[in-house]
Amino acid sequence: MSRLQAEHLYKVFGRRPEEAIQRLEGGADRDELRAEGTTAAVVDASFTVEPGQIFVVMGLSGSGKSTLLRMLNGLLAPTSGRVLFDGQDLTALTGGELRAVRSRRISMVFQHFALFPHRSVRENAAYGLEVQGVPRAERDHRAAEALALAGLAGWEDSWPDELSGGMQQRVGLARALATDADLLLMDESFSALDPLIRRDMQDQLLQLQKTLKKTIVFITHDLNEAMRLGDRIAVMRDGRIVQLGSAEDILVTPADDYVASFTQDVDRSRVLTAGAIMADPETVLGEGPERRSAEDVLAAAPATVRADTPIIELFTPCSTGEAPVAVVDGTGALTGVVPRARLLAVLGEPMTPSSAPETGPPAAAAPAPVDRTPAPAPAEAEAKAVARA
Amino acid sequence: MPRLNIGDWVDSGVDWLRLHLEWLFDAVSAVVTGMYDGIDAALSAPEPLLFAGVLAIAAWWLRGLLAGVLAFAGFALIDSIQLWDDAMSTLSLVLVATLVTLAIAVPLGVWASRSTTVSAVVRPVLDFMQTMPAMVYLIPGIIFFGVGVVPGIIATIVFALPPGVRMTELGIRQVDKELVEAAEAFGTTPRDTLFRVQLPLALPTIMAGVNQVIMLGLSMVVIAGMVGGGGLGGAVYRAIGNVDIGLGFEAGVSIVILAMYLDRMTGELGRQVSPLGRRAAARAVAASGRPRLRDYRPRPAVALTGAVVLALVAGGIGIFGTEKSGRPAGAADIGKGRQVTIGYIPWDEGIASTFLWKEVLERRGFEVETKQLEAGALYTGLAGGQLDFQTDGWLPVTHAQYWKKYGDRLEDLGSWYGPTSLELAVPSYVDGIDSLADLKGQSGKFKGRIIGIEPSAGMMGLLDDKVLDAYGLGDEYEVVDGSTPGMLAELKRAYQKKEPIVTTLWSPHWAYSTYDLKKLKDPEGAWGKGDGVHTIARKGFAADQPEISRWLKDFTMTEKQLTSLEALIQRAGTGEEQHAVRAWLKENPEVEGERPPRGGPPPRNGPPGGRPPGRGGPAPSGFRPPASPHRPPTCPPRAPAAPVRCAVCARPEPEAAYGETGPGRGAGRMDAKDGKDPKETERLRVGAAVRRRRRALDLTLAAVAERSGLSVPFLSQVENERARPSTRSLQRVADALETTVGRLVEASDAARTIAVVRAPADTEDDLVYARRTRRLVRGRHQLEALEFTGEYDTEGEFQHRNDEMMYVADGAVEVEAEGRAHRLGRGDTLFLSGGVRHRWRATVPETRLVVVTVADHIVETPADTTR
Ligand SMILES: Nc1ncnc2c1ncn2[C@@H]1O[C@H](COP(=O)(O)OP(=O)(O)O)[C@@H](O)[C@H]1O
Ligand SMILES: [Mg+2]
Repeated sequence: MSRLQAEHLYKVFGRRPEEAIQRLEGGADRDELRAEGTTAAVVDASFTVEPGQIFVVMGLSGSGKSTLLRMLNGLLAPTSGRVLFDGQDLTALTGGELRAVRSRRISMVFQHFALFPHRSVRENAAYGLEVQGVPRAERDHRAAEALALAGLAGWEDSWPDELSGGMQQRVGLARALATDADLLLMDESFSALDPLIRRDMQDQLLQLQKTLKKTIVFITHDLNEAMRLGDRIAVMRDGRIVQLGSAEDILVTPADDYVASFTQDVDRSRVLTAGAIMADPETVLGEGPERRSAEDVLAAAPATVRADTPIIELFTPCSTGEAPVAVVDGTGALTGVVPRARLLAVLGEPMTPSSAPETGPPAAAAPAPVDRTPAPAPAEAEAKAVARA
Repeated sequence: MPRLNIGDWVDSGVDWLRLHLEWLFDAVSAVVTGMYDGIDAALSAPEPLLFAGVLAIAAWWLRGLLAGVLAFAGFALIDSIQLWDDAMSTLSLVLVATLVTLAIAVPLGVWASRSTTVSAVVRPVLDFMQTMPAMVYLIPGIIFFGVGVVPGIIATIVFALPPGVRMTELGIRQVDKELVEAAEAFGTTPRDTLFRVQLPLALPTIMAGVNQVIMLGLSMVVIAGMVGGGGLGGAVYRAIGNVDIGLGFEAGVSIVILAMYLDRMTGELGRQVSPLGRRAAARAVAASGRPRLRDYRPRPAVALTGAVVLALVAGGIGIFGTEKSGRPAGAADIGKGRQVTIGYIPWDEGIASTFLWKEVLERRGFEVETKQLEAGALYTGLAGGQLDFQTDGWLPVTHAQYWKKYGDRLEDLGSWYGPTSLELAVPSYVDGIDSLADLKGQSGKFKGRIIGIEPSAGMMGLLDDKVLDAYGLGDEYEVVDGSTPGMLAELKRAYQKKEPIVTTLWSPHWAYSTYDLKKLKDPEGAWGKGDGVHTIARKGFAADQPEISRWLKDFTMTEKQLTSLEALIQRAGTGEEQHAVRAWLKENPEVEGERPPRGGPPPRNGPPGGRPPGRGGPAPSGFRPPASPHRPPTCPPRAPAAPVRCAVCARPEPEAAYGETGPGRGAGRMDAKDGKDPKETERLRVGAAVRRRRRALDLTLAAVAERSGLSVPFLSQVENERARPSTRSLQRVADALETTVGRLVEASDAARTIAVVRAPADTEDDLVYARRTRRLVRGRHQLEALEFTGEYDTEGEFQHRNDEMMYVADGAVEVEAEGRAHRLGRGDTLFLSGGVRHRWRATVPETRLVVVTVADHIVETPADTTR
């Protein structure tokens, strides 16, 4: 069973939200509603998150990411739709029950850290436990553990205003980890940090995730971050999820121009993997006498790599010869090939869906709500986002 | 635009509240008084310097050594200028007001911060509360709670509430939304979010609000002093009343010291109690490095112990160290410690007689408390029974409105001085000016100014309306509005420089014995006749304190006695009144002797300086009132001491008119709604007359403009009755048109009017015994006529300048004119020429009397008749 499941979530701010939903379902435009002072922040969002997965929601500012996230722990009540957490419908809970879930099983890390300035680092990290009513000695102990996990051992008696931004966010992370919640909601948690520290934090999160195996919903507007962290990525635009898939899906087969515009300045060579761009071995078999079988291909290949190797590592091998690089699975069997021409092609513009190679649907994909309506030019979308911010 | 009687509605609303919510007000009053008494007792019990030490330690702990030393010096100063008790009363008042304010403001602020609806409702109410002049709250305050500290505290609370609520709301709303969200995201309940996150983080702002509340409270204490709040405010108010610069400054400085102390301490306390403030302080210390001696603070525990020890010592000395001063023993001790509370308005004769009685009564064994109040508050307090008596009731004229309102809850113990008079006065070095008539043509000497007092005072109205006209001074002199202290200060200044000055003044007044002044004669009698200064007690006082009320009834003073006492008190300065009284009594033993409580010869040269124990004599007996021509024991306001303007001429509604307008001063704020200016309508209607007169003279608007110095557009508006010229502008117009204001007004009234006033549609039965008055001439015309139905009594004597005629349509009327009685029956008429003093009453219930008069605004101008 999936850990978290969102079913047709809507969130409308403003007057007569129910009516607005009906109109949206009837195909009304979001801008139309906004003119009347009603904001459809999230429109018909559905997805599932599996245990241990990092699910990234990505989109420009104002696209409804934060709103969506706050519906997942009940800080905002959906206007319509359900949130199932371990099969339990959060929208059906009373205030008290919901608070109990939030205090024990879901925790949250904020964009601007949201540390309590009148509490020490230890007291901040122990806050969730304090709310649960854990006795002081135990909660200090657990807080210290969480701080150590976040790399802040020895800073317990400091105050938030004595720490750098990165350290403050580590406290935020420790506070979220201390309650031992299964689900971590992170709202642009690294966006306020400078790029170097951001990368550190990402690494640390991935490192932690290897041992802790939390389920994480991570919000970001940075595609690189999404690609680095996300097992699965949802791209939001104007309240709707326009594409749902793996990092490669989004790079290689963007659902529309909006998504494509995101991917423009991504360092594809580090994000795309050999598995994402490889071609079927069949396509090269029989191209000449020397490539009659898989063994021939393997023997001729300048390098043999695994499917999850970033393509940046394929360039040197490719440059040394005409033969394609071989991609093998765990048993050493040939699963695909990356010819030089293909390698160069993917570095350019994203491919249109028709010309994209078969990558197969992502595992356990919900029917991806792909928005096919013509997108405004990216610049225009950007301008809007800026105006809203 | 109809007149909306908002004032009346509020007035009757307040009355309704007083009647129906009395229990609530009593409860509030009891709680507030209890808190105040408790805190005041605690604060004033310790020896002043020790307590100053406690306060200094608090300052040291909070702000460092220097602050501690300064605090001690400040409080020691207050003690040395003998305002310690006043300062502690003020501190108690501020503390009570602050506590109650915060108890209301913080929850309200929290509520407002959580609900935009509440916030939207509360905001305009707060604006209203804060913008309304704070003094306005005193009026209902007195009515609901009586005089004393309670209305002062309540007014302070109302006034100080808005910043408390605002700052709390602001503080909570300011807390970073993300922090609140974080708390919620970890499952914090709304209540815990408030107490663990919002309030701690809002604390600096809330404490800034507390600080503002305290400062506003302090600024209100002066105003509270006007209604008997006492303390430093009372001292300031006394100082203002007596133009006592020294006391004013001392009290002012004491307030400043208290304010600085409270301000700095609450500011620092705000930093100390708020976690953020502590955090910031810790960082500052960390940043500055090595601690210095100057910054050394006792640790809280040390400071607390020190303060407690000092407080215990101080309290112990305060409780056991001072004995209550003894009362006279033996026969002189008639009072046996019974409490008497005297209220007074800070008018000089009031202060003098009040402290005279305080001294006399204390000598006779009573415990006397004096309360200085504003006139309205004084009468309210008497009517409510919080005060026992006051000695400064100017009746029947000046205080007529108070008597009318509260007379049924008061007892008049007779007049002890009289008649009073109102006058213009000049220093005697001003030669050739002895009468009001002499002022004519002399305006250059006085720079054209007559120095007046409060514009609300009845005396000022009388001066403007009658006196100046009677002597033709209106064109020459400008009456400078101001205040009594201002007038006296100006008099003093001019007197010292021997400059000519003419001021409004009244007798009795100490100025007459301090300066050599001439009262300007009033041959025309324009000021009217004077009042008697009455002693007025609460209802039931004569029964409760028969001795005192007997003494009071027999009390009289001559002008010489009174002004010499006033002058002595004036010189002694505030706070020293009783010393001055003692010194004066030594010089004037006959005054006390006149009311000997003891048999035998009164101690004419009794020991000076107060109430030595053991001073006594034989048991009281043979007390006989002196044969002074004083008034009967109770003096109803109808006693015809001075002519009141006739109801018919002065006001359209006779019921409301009796005794409402008097010539004296002191009408005070409470009569504001009374002040409909009859000139208002007059000015409006004068336009047509101006135009007719201008055309008759064949002048253009421009010509008139040039002559009058007014602009053409303004004149045109005046003619079209779209602008109301002021009296002064009208005067200029009249001059330009070679006529007088009076004639212009007269001419404007001549607009042709035909008006029928129908008989009321009542049935016969209703008519017979209903006491009713009907106006027969509506609007403002030369003639006025009223029909009085039922048993009527003018309840006072009238005199007016124009003719009057009455016709008895039914029943019978008894008229007394110039001391002679006339009985009129059905069909009889009576004519009274202007100036005749008269009163009348209907003798049978079915009487119907028609009274026709020439209106008061019509002035004879014989010289002009040829034109
Ligand atoms: N409480 C609210 N009331 C009204 N509109 C809101 C509220 N919160 C968010 N919105 C609107 O919903 C839209 C989505 O906001 P948000 O979820 O914060 O976007 P993102 O996190 O992607 O920047 C925005 O247009 C925003 O203005
Ligand atoms: Mg956001």
